[in-house]
Order: sequence, then structure tokens, then C-alpha cells
Amino acid sequence: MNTLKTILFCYGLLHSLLLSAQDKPFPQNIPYQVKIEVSTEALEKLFYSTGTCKLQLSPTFQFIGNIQNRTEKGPSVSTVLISTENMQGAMLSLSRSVKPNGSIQYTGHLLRLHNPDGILLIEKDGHYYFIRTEQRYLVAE
Amino acid sequence: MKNTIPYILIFLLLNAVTRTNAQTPVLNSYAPAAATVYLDFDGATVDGTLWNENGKIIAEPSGLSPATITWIFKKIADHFILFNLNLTTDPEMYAHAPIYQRTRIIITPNGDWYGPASGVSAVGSFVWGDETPAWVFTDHLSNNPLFIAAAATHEIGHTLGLQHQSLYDSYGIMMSELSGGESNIFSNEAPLMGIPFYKNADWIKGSPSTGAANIQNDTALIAGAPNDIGYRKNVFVPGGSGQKSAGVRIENQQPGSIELNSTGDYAYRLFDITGRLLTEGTLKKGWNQIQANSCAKAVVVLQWYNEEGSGSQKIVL
Repeated sequence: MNTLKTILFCYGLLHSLLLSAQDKPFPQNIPYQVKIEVSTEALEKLFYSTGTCKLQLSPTFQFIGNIQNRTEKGPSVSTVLISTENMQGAMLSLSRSVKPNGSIQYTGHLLRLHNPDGILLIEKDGHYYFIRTEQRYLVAE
Repeated sequence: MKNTIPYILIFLLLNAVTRTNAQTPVLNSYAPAAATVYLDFDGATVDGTLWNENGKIIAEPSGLSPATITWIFKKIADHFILFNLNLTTDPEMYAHAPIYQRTRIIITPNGDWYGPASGVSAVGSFVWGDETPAWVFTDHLSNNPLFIAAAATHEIGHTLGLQHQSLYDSYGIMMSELSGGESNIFSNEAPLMGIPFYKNADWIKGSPSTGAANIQNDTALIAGAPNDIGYRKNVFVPGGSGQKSAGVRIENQQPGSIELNSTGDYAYRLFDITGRLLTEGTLKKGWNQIQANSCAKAVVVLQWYNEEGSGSQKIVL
């Protein structure tokens, strides 16, 4: 019974954090310590988008942007740079590389210069997540 | 017409001299290495990177003379002499480097597009593979070659994943994000990832900006994953140009481990500072590693010898 209460409490806390974050500007609309999972299919779509692209990452985190640049470096590496429309012009840089063993790896970051925080794409156990992190750890002078 | 010809000749000659002065010398610090840092003094147009929130950036050439560029280059290269990494001023070397093991440092006078800073870089971008460059703004460094070299080394450190080395009080509270080194009169050393301008700066093992309890070993991070650069395993020639004539050169030291290059076969002994023998063995010509778990963190003395001679060196682990 206690376990059920704890689960419900944690769910409620997480839900309220997400809801309270909705109206705040990027990246304050994404709470610290919350990992937003993103599917590889969604990431893959961004590499083939043209013009405006949208990505619903979570109920409170929708990404709308314009493709700024797309580069292919040999057969194994592609990079796409997207300027956001709904995140104060923050730039999402996403790279996709095919490793020698054939596996595909994505790396990325969503940053706006001089913002205190940014978003980093991380991989854990084959799943990809966006996490908010202090930007001084991503961009340093 | 006769009078015009000398003027034309003088103009052509001056033009040629100016162009020669404007050329960046082609320099490589360790050409065999695949991993590459391109020091771009020639100016650049940058587009399609995270720096381009406000559109294309046109970076002017540094305006530094070839002699100054060479001096700065050597100063920076000295800090990377341990690593299997090539610093170059040659764009072709950069173009042919593995895309996940390269970065470009644009050394340019003006960084107004970013704001008041002497340089900026994306942490870890060396392995991003997306052409994100790092920047050094020479106007903010008073165009002082020493400062430019220090700032460029600092920014390269960031691209290789290093955070700032910081200063904390005894409670672990950050006093300064950028450490200027020990503040006693006997210390003239500062971390390259702190404030590297006013003292002899070097890579250190210390507490980074991510927290007092976290220890950042600069050299180990540069050499290790995800950069996967590693250390040079070259053998030096005793008495050769620019080399010390000692028989053994220490390449890297960490608690419990010493990496070194040896010019020949030697027996060695490792002592602690009180003279207690910690370990002994033989060194082969070339790269060697001495494991000495009993000297986890200490000052040790390495002594090496054969029929032809001997030597010793104090090492701080």
C-alpha cells in the first residue's frame, strides 16, 4: 500500500512539475532532472525534413523549427542544424553516425547563446533522452 | 612612360611583400597523428553552426605576422607534446583528419557577434563531427601573443571536453569558477583551464567547475574517451635538436603509474622521497610504463642506469 502511495505521489509530483513548466519560456519550461525520452524514429525524421519541422517530444515539449543546414560527411555521418521558432531561436544540432559495427548513434544539443541553460541529447541503454543542463557546461569561455 | 615603369615595379614588389607577410606559415606539431586541431589564422566564414543564431559570421584574418603566428603555434604545441595529436595551420590537414577527431580554432580580432569574451567554445565539440569551431578573439587579449597562445590552449581544452578548473574553499563552496593557481608567493603555476595568462600554466588534476568533489585529470581526459587520442610513443634522440640529453623522458605521471620514453635499455629503481625502494625493473628502448601502486600519491625519485651511465629524476605523482 505504501509503495502504491509513493508511486502515486511521484507521478503527481512529476505531472505538476511538467504542468507548471508549460507557460515558462525555453528552457525553463523543462524542469531539471526530467529526462524527456525521444524515439529514434522521431530523430530520424528530422534528417529528412525540409522547411519547417515539428517534433512532439512530450505533452509539454513541442519543438518547431526550420532547417538551417544539412551536411553529409562521407557515407557514415550526417548532421542537421535546426533553428527553433518556439524556443527563442535556440539551435538544435543533431548528428547521426553509423559506427563500424553498423549501429547508429545520435548526438545533439539544443542551445541558445548566453542562456543559462541548454538541452543535451543523451543515450542510455539504447534510449535517447533530452535533459536540461547548465549551459556553462556546454559552452565555455 | 619611362618614369611610370619603376613605380609599377615598386608597386608589384610591395604587393608581393605584403602578400608574403599575410601568408600563414604551414606548421604541424606532430603530423603522424590522425587527431587534428586546426589553428585558423586566415579568417573564415562560418555558417550552419550553433554560433549562427544571427546568421553568417565573417571572421577577419588574425592580422598577425608569420613570425608571431609561428611563436604562438609553438607555444600552444608545447602544451600538447604528450599527446598523439597534431596541431596544424594547414587547412588540408584538417580536411583529411577524421571528422570525429578534429576541431578548428578560429583566431580572429573581433568577437562582437558573441559578446565581451576572449574566446568561446563548445565543450566536447572535438568529437561532434559537425564542424563547430571554437574561437579566440585577439582584440580582447590586447593582441598579446602570450595571451593568445594561452587562450587558444584553453579553448582547445574545452573542445576536448575539459571544464574550467575552479577554486573552492574548505567547505567545498566555489570561490572562483576560474582558478588562478595557488595564491602563495612560492607558487608561480596556474591551470590552463583556469586563468592561464599570468603564471606558468599547465594541465592539472583538480576540482572542476562541476563540483569540488569531482576530480578532473586534464591530461587523462584529453587522451582518453571519447577523444581517444592517446599519448605519443615516440623516442627522442639524446642531444638532438631541442631535446634534453637525458636517457629517460617522463611523458605522463599519475598516481600509481609513470609513462616514459627511454633512449636505451636501462635498469631502474623507484624510491619514495625518504629513500625507501618502491619498485625496480628494466626499461626497454622506447615507450615504457611503470606501475607502482605503492606510490599512489607522492613525490618519487626514478633512478636509471646501465654500463654507459645513469641518471635520476624527481617526479610528482
